[in-house]
Amino acid sequence: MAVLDRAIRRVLDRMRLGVRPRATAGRQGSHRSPLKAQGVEFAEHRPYVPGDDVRHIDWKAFARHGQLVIRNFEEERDAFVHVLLDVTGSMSRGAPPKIQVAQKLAAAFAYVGMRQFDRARVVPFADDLDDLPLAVRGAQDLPMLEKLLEAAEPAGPTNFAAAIRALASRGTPRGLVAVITDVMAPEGWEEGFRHLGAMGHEIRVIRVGCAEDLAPTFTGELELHDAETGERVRLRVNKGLLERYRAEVKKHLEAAKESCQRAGGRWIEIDVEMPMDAMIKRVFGGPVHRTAAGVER
Amino acid sequence: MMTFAAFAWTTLAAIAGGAALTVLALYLLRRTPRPQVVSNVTFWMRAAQSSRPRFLRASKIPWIAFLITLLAALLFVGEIGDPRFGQGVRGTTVIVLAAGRSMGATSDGEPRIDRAVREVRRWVDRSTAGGRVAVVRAGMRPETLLALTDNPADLERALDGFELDDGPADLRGAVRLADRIITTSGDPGQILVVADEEVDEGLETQATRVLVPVGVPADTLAIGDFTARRDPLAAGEYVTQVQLRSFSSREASARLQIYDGDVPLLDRRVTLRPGAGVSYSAQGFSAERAELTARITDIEITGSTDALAVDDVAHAVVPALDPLSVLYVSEGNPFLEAALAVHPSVQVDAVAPGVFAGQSAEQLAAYDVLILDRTALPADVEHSSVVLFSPPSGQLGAEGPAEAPRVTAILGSHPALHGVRMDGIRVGRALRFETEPGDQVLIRSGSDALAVARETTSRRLIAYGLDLGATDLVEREAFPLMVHDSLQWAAAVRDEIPLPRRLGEPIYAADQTVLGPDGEPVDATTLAAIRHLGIYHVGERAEAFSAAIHAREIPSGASAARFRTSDPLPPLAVLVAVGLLALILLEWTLVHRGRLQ
Repeated sequence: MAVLDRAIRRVLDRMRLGVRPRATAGRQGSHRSPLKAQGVEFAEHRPYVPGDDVRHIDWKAFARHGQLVIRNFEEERDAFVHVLLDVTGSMSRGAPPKIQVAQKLAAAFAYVGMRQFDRARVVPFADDLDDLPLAVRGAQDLPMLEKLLEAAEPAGPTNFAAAIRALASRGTPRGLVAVITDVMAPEGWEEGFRHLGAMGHEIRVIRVGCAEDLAPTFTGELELHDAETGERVRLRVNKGLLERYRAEVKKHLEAAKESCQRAGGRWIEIDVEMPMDAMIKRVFGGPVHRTAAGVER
Repeated sequence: MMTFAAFAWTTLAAIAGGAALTVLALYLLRRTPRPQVVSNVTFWMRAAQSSRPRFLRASKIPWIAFLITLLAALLFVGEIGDPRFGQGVRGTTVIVLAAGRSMGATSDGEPRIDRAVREVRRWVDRSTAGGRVAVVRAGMRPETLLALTDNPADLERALDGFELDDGPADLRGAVRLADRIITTSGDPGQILVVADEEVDEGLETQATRVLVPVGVPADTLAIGDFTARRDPLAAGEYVTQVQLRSFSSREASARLQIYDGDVPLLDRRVTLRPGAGVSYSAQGFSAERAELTARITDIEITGSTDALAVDDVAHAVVPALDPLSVLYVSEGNPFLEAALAVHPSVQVDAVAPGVFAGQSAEQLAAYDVLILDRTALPADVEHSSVVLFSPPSGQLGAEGPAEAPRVTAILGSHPALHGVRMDGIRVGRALRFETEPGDQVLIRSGSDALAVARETTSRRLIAYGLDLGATDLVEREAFPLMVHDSLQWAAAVRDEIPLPRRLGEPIYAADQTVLGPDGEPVDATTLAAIRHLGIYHVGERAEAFSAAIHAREIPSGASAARFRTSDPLPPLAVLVAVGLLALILLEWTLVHRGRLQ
């Protein structure tokens, strides 16, 4: 796989993609689900009520306490992993370009999901959503994924809210939604995150940033070209304006982060200049979740 | 300082246009944007909106700054284009060119005057571009070197034969003259002083003064004084005294020579400590006129050189001995005749008493002194200077001879006996004089007066009562000295010290031809104020003009600022340049503080 070389895949082999129980799907998988059934992982005891399967009565507990109790087990399910890949024009900026890093992270999500038998699908978005591709279920689907990523050329404006509306309209099943984007559009983020949260998705935003966006250094008489819309603005950039620009971007990112967290999402900052190892650890690291198979990060 | 003032106004206008185009090009270059792709311009627009200045529209400020910069640039070109522009005057420029001795000092490898003349040429070119110019020569006596003209070529004619004075420059008088020229011209103007020293700050002038200093601090070794006089105690001898002064902060040495014509009187190596002075004297012998020259050569100053040559030479003149014309009346006295013969400055006519009696008063008046030996002075002879030896009884109330008198006292303080000693002399016979009030007894024997000096308003008379044939005084060296001193006193010869004359003083020549130090005749205009040191010959007379009295430290010249004016404010050019710089800095500061877009 050209996008993910062997070394990265070796790192990814040790990673797990944790999904909250309420965001799991219906098939048997490796994620803890809210359902209590015939699983492997013991969940709890509850009083016996007539009609319960007598095979689930804990006789040892009855012998000790003289009360009939039923043993509940957690049911482990798989999950849908929707990787929303920002392919707007702004993703072409940075060194290396943000789109390259985003492609690798999207592939990493799909790869890790595939490894734990989830149904991962990478969906490019700009001001709308492309057709939903097939989910990656096994190694046989990786070429298709690679082809998809290679075809993702950064262009056009961003409209995250419209993309999310399109996602909802296509009946996307509940799951983990990883949004890989630079968040360099002024509007639509709060609405988009709110919709995702309302749809029951677990949100994970990976903001791919570069120095040019956060701390530009160019000054002087400039004609600024918008990478997404092609709009041109003539400005005399000086230190004061640079400081105010940084403040504006920071304020915007804080607002987007806050709206993400309000929707129950998790916000992860990535810089294009970071080493890939560190990037993967930051993206796939995080809160520890207990699963039927053991500890899940 | 760069200037365009020598160009015509059209050329100046073209340069101003070029400057304006340059400012415009710089402005446009500064305003030409550079393309820069950004992720989203919306954030930049928001930042720009929040930093928009409120006191002026942002788009107007660069234009205003551009116009002010353009205006300042044009003002600057105008200022450096016309030296009078910045002073607020136009029309007449009078250049005062220092022509004193210090301008001959070597600074920066060339005489200061060369540099000064270059400055004058430059400023004449500039000033005639839009007005008239005159040049005042600031020598010992200020004079107009170039009358008001608008033709710069006139300067070269005026500078033809230009030379420095050996005395100090009268800058104050020259500036006054320049001020009068401007005042009488009726135009506003300025005075440009090209000199190596400052003009007295207290000097008030109506026109603005600007100093263009030339020269740098320099060292010199100078002859500070040089005099000569005859030795009053030794006929025919003279004494010279020379003083060397060091105007340097370093040790110096030189070879000092004093010559009487071609005859060396002194030749020695002299070493001087920093700032010190030292005096030497030398003697010479000549009854004729002595023309003396003191000179220092082979000057060595540690780590420096002698910058000024004019102060290395000084002159002095010792006049010839004025011979005394003496009528010697005697029947023969070998001692007295021998005593008169040893003096080179005495011309003696000897006559017998019989011949003397027949001479008229006019004939006697031709002699400075009458010496009567054993001869009576007729009562009708009214000569002013008379010396009597052994006069007959009755002269001066002679009381008759005293046999073998002993000399008990002499009046050594009297000029007639100056330096005469009569200890233990033997006198065989002498007359005793009866003194009158006012008489001075020169030789006394007890209460007897053996010699008296009598001085009235019209006559000096000395009478020696000693019988020269009966005393050993005539065999002593005191005798010719006594005779000489008596003649000098009786003739009322004054020993005048011939001081060298000061440069700048005139020579009174009447109809006589005056030859300069180079032996060439001197024209009448020069005689009014002698400018060059040396010995001038006026007929039979010689007068030494010495610059030694003017010996002083060389002015430090360009230790001051390149251009300095008595105006308390700096020149407008500097103000405009500073203003221009401040404007550009202000604009860039505003740019970097986000006040401009």
